[in-house]
Formats: sequence, C-alpha cells, structure tokens
Amino acid sequence: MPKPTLYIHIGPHKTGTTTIQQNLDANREALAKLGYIFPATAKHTHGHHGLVGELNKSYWYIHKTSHLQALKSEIIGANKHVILSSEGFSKIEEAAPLEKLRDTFKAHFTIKIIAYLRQQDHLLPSLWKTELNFRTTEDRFDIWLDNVLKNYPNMHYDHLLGLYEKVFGKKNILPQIYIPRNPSHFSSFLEVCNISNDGGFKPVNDKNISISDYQAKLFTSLFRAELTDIDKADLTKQIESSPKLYNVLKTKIEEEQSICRHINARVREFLIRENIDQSGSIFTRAHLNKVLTAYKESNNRVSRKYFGQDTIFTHDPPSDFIERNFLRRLSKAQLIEVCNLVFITYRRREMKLAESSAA
Amino acid sequence: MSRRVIYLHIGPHGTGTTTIQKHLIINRQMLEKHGYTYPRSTVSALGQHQLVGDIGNFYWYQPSLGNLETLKDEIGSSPNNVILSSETFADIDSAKPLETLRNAFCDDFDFKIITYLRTQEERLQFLWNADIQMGLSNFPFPVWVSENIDLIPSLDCHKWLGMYSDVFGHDALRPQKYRRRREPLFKHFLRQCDIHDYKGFVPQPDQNKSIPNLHAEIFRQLAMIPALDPVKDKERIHIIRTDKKAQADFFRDLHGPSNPMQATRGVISDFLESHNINPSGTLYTPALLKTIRDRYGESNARVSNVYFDGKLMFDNKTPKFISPNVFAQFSKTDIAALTNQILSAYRRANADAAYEAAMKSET
Repeated sequence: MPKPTLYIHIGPHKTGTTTIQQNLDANREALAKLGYIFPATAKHTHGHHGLVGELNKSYWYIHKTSHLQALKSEIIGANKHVILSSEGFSKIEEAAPLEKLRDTFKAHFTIKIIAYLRQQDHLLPSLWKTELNFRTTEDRFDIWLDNVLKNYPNMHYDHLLGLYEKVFGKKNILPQIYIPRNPSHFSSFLEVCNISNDGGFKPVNDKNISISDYQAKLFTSLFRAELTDIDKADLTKQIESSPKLYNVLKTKIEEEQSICRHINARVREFLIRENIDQSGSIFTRAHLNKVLTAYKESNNRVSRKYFGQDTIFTHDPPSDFIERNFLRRLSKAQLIEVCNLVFITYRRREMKLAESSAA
Repeated sequence: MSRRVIYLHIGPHGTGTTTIQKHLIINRQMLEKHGYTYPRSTVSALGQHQLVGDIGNFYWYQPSLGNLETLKDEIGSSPNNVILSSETFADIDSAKPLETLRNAFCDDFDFKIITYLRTQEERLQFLWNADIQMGLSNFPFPVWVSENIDLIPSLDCHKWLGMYSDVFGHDALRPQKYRRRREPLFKHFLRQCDIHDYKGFVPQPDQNKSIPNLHAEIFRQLAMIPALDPVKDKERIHIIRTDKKAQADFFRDLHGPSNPMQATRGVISDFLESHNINPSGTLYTPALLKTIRDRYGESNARVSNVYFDGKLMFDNKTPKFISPNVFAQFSKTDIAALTNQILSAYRRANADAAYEAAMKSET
C-alpha cells in the first residue's frame, strides 16, 4: 500500500497563506471525509507556527513543550494524508530543522513541499506592512528593506527552494505562482494536494484589512520605537534567559498587535473620511531598482528550473511613488488630528486591555 | 494652660502650598522645639486634607486617615501651638464647615488664618494646567475657564475672605500677596506663624509641579482625548468622584507611568528646547484676560482696602500671550516626530512598568 502524503505548505508570507489556513481550519471535517488531516496539534491561530518555532528553536518558542511529539501521536498510524501549513517554514534557513522534520515522518509519509512564489517588488511592501501590524518590526520601509536584502536569503526563491530540494528532493517540491486577489486561491491549493473542491467546503473569507502604503508610511512616522540594534540584541538575550521576561514581552507584543490593529482601523477611516490621496508605492525608485536587480537572476533560475520558461512574473513593477514630503497631503490641522487619533486610540485600548487583564 | 493658637493655612491652590507643606513635614522636630505641632492625623499627601474632607463632606474624604475627632485627640494632649495646612480649604464654599472647625477648638485655641493671594488670572491658568496634567480635563483653556470659573469660591477674594472673617473674626486673618520674594517662601510663612528664628530649619527645593502652559497645550492637542463633548467629560469626572474603585485607579495612575503626561514630560520640554522656544506665557486671549480682570476688579479693590491699607494688591501687567495655534511655529515633520517621541516614551514607560511588576511578582 502506498504511503500517504504529508503536504507541507511553507508560505511564504503574503501569498494567501491566511486564506488557505483559515479555510483548512474551518473545513477540517470535510477534509477528514476525503482522507486528509489538518492537524489540531502544533497549531497556533490557524497555522502550525508552533511546530516551526520548535524546529527552528525560535526565541518565541523557548520555554514550551514539544509540539513535534504531539503531532507524531496525532498523524502517524492514522493512515491519512496530512496538510501542515505555516509561512514560518519559509523562514527556516538551515537544513537541520528540515532534516529533523523529514526524519521524523519519512518512514510514514511521502513528503511534498508547496510554496507560493510572488514577485518580490509586490510582496515586500505587503510583508513590511504585515510585520508592522504584528510588531515584528517598527522600522521604516527603507531601513527594513535594506535589512531584508542583506539578511533574508530565502527571499531569493532559488535559495529557498534549493534548501527544501536538498532535504526533500526536487521531485517533491511543488512551487506555485501566487496570483493576487484570486477568488479560487483555496481551490487551486486543494488541487495541488490532489483534492477536488466540488462544493463540499464552506468558504471562509480573510477578514484582514489591508492598508495603503501611504497609511503605513504615515503610521510609522508616528508610531515607531527608536530601538537600536544593541537594544534589540540586549532584549533578545534577556528574553532567552528569562521565561518571566519572555511572558511579559509576549503579552506586551500581543497587546500592541491588538492596539495597532485598532489604530490602523481608525486612521484608515480618517484618511477615507477626509478624502486624503493615498496613492503611490512605498518604494523609492532607487530602492525598487535595488530589489529588481537583487532578485532578477534568482527568479530567472527558478523560472527555468521549475517552470521551464524564461520568466514567471509578469506584473509591472510600481511606477507611482509616494513623495518624500508625504505629509504635505495633509493640512496641519489634519495632521494634528491624526496624531491625536493615534495617541488616544493607543491609550484607550491600553486602558481597556489593562482593565480586562485586571478583571 | 494659656490659650494656644491654631495657624490655619488655607492655601489656595497654586500659591506654594506644596512647598510649604513639604517644609512642615521635614521640619516637624524643629517646629516642636519652637513649641509648634504639625499634626499627623488627617494628613494625606502633605497636608491635613482629610480634615477638610471630613468637615466639608467632600467626595474624596478617606475616613481611615483621620477626622476632626482624631485631630482633637492628637493636639489636645500637647501644650503646643498648631499649624494646619490644606489648600482644599479653598474648596469650602459655606461657613458651616468652618464653624464646625472653630467650635471644635475654640475652647482652647485662637485661630490665625494664613493665606497667600494670587491674581485670579494666574490661578485659573495654574488650575487648568494642573487639570491637564492629571487628566481631569481636556478642555481648551478658554472653555475650561467658562466651565469652571463659577465653581472656585476662592477666586472672589473679598467674598472668600469675608466667609473666614465672619467665622474667625477680622483680626484673625493674615492674607499675604503671593509673589516671588528674595527670602524663601517657608521663612515668610514661619513669620506669619510668629516664628521669627529661621535658623535650624532644613530648606527644601521648590516643589513647583506646574509645567509651562505652551507645554501643556501641546500635550492637550496631541495626546488628550479631544474635548468635543463636555457632558462626557463631566461624566468621567463624576465617576471618579463617586466610584471608589475608579477613584483608586485614578489616583494610582496619576503618579504612575500610566499617566501619559508624566511619562512624556521630558520629551516635550526637550522638543521645545531643541527649537529654541521659550515656553513661558499665558493662554489667555486679550479679551478673556480683560473679562477676568473686570470680573474680579472690584473684589480685589475691596481686599486692598480692607487688608492692605488701600495699596494695590495686584498690578495688572500685560503678560506674554501664546497664540492659540501653538503648532504654527513647527513644521509637519516636527509635529510627526514629536508625536512619535511622545508615544515612544509612553509605550516605554508602560513596558518598563509591566516588566518591573513581573520581576517583583517573581521575587
């Protein structure tokens, strides 16, 4: 009897992962009827991020019990196909965590890797905005981008896929092209997993509200901690040595995530109400060129190797940029109103959270 | 036993009361040597505010900190004169609480009433500033004045002093002008209490907690909930005044990092300094200032005649007016940067507090 398949959906971020995960999570029963498990263990929100944290020994995972063991108990011997999904997989940069995953499950499953590829000049602004919302960065886009270009090798898709290929073999890598705002994104994902969406799945719409580049630029000019690299390194060191501090920070970050979502919702309403022009890309022309140049060769190699064609990305790069003096789109009175709005939303949410945690 | 004296320092707010009370606390032993007691009963913060809370039946009264009876017990057993100090006497608006106080002690004590009088225009500005700092109001200064002016009995000095004069007698009153003096304020205060030897008293730094009005106005506009709805604001104050828990939370927050004004104080000062801006000045419009001066002119003239031999009590100098458009002098980039710095400081203060609380619970 052939082994069942373990599909590992590795993201990356900003390629419709939330839509896929929310739909998988909501349709667990329908999947089970078709012989698929979307495991309940190792899951955080809708994806298996806890598992990634454990494999990758992430600072935010330390001090926790093993998800891998729980996952083993849940899926080995069930004789069903399994789908794991976390965009965190695409952040793993070394073979060792992947080898551990492979070695844990290879005797029981054929392992397939699903990755969605999105043109980096479109993906990066979107990723930065998500990181702002999740408080994993407070940096301005240009600073954040320089850091990504320097320190995120997996943004080179040949590097990312190469790493997985090295561990799981080329024939098991199933790269897909991400099509933005594709209403049948989930169905096409199911097809990759050999599942036909014949109407048995109830659709879940992603409720994430995206904000414009202009709003994100305005937001970071008002709500950004001036943490130096030394501050960040210090903090990481302290977190690793103190479970207590880790918990404090985790709670604080979760609170701030919630606060930021509220602030951005209010600012978004304000910008719409005041009819502020929000057009333009967060890129500067120079940074855009840097990005296009940085990933060109890598994208070409992936196109040829996995798709047998010269290019897979066909969207035009952005051509309308937010001006340097972006605050000129607001009158001074509007700027003061928005400053006030940010502060009081922060304060109100913080007071509300303090009240509920005290209760 | 010869009759003793209670020196009753009645403030009002914004006339150096904190400085005086701090000195009284620190110098208790020295006062004892001079034959004076600064009682412990009914003290909260630095003054005998709970005495006023008791006799005036104020919302903030905390019986656990003492009352008129405990104060009587404390000072009845000593041969000393007594100094009582609370700026909240200025919130009393009828003779009855004062009569209660007089009647409780008049068998053994004479009263001397000490007060420092400051121009109404300065006091209103000071009180607005304090309310902004404490988060008790978010009104622009002119709106705040119109909402509060009728609620502050001590502003009409003649009427206010008249109430004390009726209860304690005209000769008991020792009103003084509040002004910058060459000598320390506390030394001047001791003289009003008939202590003329200042030697041996430990000086304390000036306890002035007010911030420049420009500073407060910038904070109000950037960081306070806009005062669009006076009714809601009143509701909030009413809750603080009537709900014990809300009150406790409020006073806890007042001095902690959760008070955004405290957490961000240095940021705005540094910002103004870095832009070479002198933050002094008043938020009055010339028209509002004239209204205030006209309103109290007659009362002040009477006080000058009755207590200061007809000498002019206040000289109406023209102050430096701050434009209501306080951001006119800053670029939008500056305003955005300032907002970011204020928020960063506030967030950091909150994070530090959470960290400290966690570490404390660990130990």
